[in-house]
Amino acid sequence: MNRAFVTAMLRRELRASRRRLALYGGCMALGVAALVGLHGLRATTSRAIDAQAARLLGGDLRLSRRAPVPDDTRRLVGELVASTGGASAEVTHFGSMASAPATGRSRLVDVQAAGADYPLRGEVRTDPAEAWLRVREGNVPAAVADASLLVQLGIEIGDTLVLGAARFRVVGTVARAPGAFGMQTQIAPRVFIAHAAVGETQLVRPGSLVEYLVFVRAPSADVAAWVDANRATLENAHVRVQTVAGQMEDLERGVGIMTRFLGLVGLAALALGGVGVAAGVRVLVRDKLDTTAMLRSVGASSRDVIAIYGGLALVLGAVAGSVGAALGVALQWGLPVLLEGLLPVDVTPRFEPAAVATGVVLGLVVTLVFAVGPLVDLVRVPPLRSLRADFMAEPLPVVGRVAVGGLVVVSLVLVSCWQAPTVAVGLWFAAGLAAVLCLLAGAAAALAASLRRLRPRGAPYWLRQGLASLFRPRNHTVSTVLTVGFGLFLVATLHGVQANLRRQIALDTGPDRPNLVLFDVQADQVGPLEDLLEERGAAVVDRAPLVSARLSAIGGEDVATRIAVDADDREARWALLREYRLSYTADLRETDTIVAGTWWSDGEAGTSEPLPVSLETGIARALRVGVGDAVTWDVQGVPVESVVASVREVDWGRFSTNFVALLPPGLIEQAPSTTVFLARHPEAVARAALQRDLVRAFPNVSVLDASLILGALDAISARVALAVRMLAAFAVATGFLILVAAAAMARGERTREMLLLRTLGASTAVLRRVVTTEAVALGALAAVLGAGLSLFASWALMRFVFEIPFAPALGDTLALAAASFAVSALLGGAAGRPVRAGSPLAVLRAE
Amino acid sequence: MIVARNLRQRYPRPGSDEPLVVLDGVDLEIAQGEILSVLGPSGSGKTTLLGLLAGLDLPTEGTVELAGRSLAVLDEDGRAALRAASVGFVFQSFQLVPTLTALENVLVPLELLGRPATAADREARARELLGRVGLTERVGHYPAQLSGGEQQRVGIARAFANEPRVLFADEPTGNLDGATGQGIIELLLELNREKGTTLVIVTHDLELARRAGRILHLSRGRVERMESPG
Repeated sequence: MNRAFVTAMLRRELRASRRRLALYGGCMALGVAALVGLHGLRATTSRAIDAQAARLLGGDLRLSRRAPVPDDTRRLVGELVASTGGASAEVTHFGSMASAPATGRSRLVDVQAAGADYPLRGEVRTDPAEAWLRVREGNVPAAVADASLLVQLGIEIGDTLVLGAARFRVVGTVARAPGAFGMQTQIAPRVFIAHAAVGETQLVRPGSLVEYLVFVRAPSADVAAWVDANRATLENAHVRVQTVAGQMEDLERGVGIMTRFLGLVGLAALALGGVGVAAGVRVLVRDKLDTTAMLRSVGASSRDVIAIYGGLALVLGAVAGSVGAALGVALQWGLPVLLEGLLPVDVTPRFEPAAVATGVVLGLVVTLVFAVGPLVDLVRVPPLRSLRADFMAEPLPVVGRVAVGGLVVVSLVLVSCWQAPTVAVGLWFAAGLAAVLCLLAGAAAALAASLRRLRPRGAPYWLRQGLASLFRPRNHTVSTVLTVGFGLFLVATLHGVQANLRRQIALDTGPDRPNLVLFDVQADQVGPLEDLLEERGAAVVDRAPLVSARLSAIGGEDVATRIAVDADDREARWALLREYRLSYTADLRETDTIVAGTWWSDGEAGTSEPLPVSLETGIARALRVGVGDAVTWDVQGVPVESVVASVREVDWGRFSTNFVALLPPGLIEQAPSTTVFLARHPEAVARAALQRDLVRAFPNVSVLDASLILGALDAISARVALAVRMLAAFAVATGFLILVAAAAMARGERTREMLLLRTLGASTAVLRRVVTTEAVALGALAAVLGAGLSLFASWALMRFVFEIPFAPALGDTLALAAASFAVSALLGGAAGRPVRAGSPLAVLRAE
Repeated sequence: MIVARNLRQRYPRPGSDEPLVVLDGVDLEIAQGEILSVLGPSGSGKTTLLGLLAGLDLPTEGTVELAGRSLAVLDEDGRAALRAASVGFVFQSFQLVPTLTALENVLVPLELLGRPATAADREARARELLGRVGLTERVGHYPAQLSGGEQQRVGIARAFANEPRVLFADEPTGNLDGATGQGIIELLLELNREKGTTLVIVTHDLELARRAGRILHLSRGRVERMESPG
């Protein structure tokens, strides 16, 4: 390779093509920006989590259990504290109704009864600051709560809050505390009381959903050693362990999944940018065929040509990557605001070199991959073309075409898998992207081919000429349909999915759906509670008994042994160790579908062990059990033998009582149980009064107004949708840039032809109609294909991913299609303007 | 300088088993410093012959020796290197790079060859050549800013830049009016005399052809006759 020559030529080509390269690079830069912004946010958040994990946890170690922590565990904790000079603190944590006598309103809250030393790391920051001290002193029953609770109950600091049988004075609001964050507290606001006050509430009763927590402060190495030494003992006692490292891992995993899912939208923008670069480089290469032939004829080697134009692509990718990275860094400052309430820590954006490097690499790789095809064409230009302009290279052999196509596909898959939350998601994403791009390109090519055969011969000249532009050489049909269609597809699909999710939420709050959930109803409270509901005009929609249980053995093998075998399988460990809420029913529930085995129809089925049990598919998979396998339960100390009789698919999307494990009525009814009720009262005011009276009559029963949960879900989904939309805007802007670039390319290529027509006597009006016909036809085709594919994709996502019924958002999709059609037609039409306006002679000279 | 033996060139014809025969058994020897015109009607194989002699393509059958090297044993990059060192071209459609100035277009073969060794010397040589073809004032102009005749002058300056041993001119006046074309021919021949270059001119123009030492008349891919206008 002749380095001096290549460098000089590259410099000159860059000088000559900088505007074009800026346009193509812009297409790529926006996708890179979205990904760099998200990578940066993830890195910054991870750093913040690392710094704040202990504060978020409230100590260096947290032990939790659904029953009081056993003495053995307390002794082990005592040894750890004594040997390290650390400390321990206890928190009892449960859900309860809180009511405000001042306003008569009530609300489900998350009660945290904290011991005197809590938190051992970090702080509970309150307003006023001394409020926390007053709670911990416990001299007067005092509470601090999330500010949202005070707003919802209509009370102020100094007012009284009733929890069960105890009354507390609200002495402040919580500004910051370990544990829940952001939108999590919207479902159940937190109320902190002194640990000593739990008894007075009389809310902790058998079967209540109570979590007992022990926090420890000790050096992390000692904690790690202690956990390793006592893991088996703790697991056998059903004590869950969370360390700072584990907390960091969990939070970072969560943030990683969220940013990577959002990153898929950025990735789509990047792929779209790649398509734009490919289209742009193809046009650039077409313009360079004669130059290349001349260079080859005067002695440039194929390596020189590759170096010049490959170098051009390299510079394009590097500049696009760098500009995208710079934009991404700016975006990084905006994302935390957009995702407020969804991040577990306070994030201060900062420059993240790794994120920037990732962006530059992505820009380079994607540009080069999409430029390879056109560059291969350039290298194959025969020098003989310098003598005869019609002399073209022989078409690339099938093997070569497959290799180039394969390179694009493999790169797309690798980049997707690298950026996606999981390899499987990456593969699905790449497959979906490839399918959509292939369908768009295929449909555009098919239409062009059919137009070639079905020319409207009787139509006016401008119409025939305009339509012919769709299929003649150097047409822009496929590239325009790909870019406009894909941009529309992306936006319309995101909109369609969100519209369907919101519709489902609206359905769940519809007139036939339950809007009150009552749980922790004790056996002796079922009758009186039903009477009260009936008296107040509330309809019981559903009720189900709950029996707390744990697994003790599977197939005769005890759980401890299974855990040792499945030590690295997170899902299996969780399924083996979790506490189960068993329920019993004679009839199959309408949200359940049997996929294996049979449902019990025999009334005697539940009267003797082993009891038949029906498991949900996910839990059966996690436990690796199927029909006929033996499962032994520990029902509050009593072993109960069962055999898997069926496996069920559960429709979790429905707002109803659903269970992973169901038993037939009979023997199990003797176990201590609570009952959960789903009820409906249509009037909001009467519903609030009913909640208040329920709390008074049954202080231990928790009542949840479903509209609050659904409202919180709606708020979270709206927040996520906002972030997704913002990232989708990058893809749309990419599409728009490509469209501008395509219009510029079209202008360059149509100039000579338009001038010829003009020289031959075509009027400005005819030229305008020719250009407009082409632009309108392309815009319409892209809009129809993009909208059609988006409806299909929305249906598929609803059907297979979200598993909820699909209702097409036809009106919105049509509006989006009309907008994309209008933009592409206007831009396409504008492409012919300079030629129409200019003098043929002037432009012909310039040509 | 150039020896061609039994040159045959055939191309597959779409939809037919019979190939298109463009050249059919051409034998030719051209001596150092000689001027040869190739004359013939459209489709007679003139440009194909020029492409084969210059190593822009390989024949279906037969051999070509250029500047003492057999083209058959060289790959495409090897032939490119030989062209860079020993061959110059003047094209009918000028083939100037539209994004390079006149000066930069002339610099291309010098940079490819890497001679003279320094960029300043290369530029001085390119300016000298452009001055020699009467374009001193136009060195910074782009092809679109030059007339057809000026563009071909740049093409001639570029063709002589690497001091080629053989110069191939493909219809050098084909895109120019009579007077401009005449000026170009005079320039081409004058430079040829100065440099002692072997010159192969493909043309329709009988007047131009008669300025050569020999005229090869080509018809339907065969040598019809060789004429020495004397």
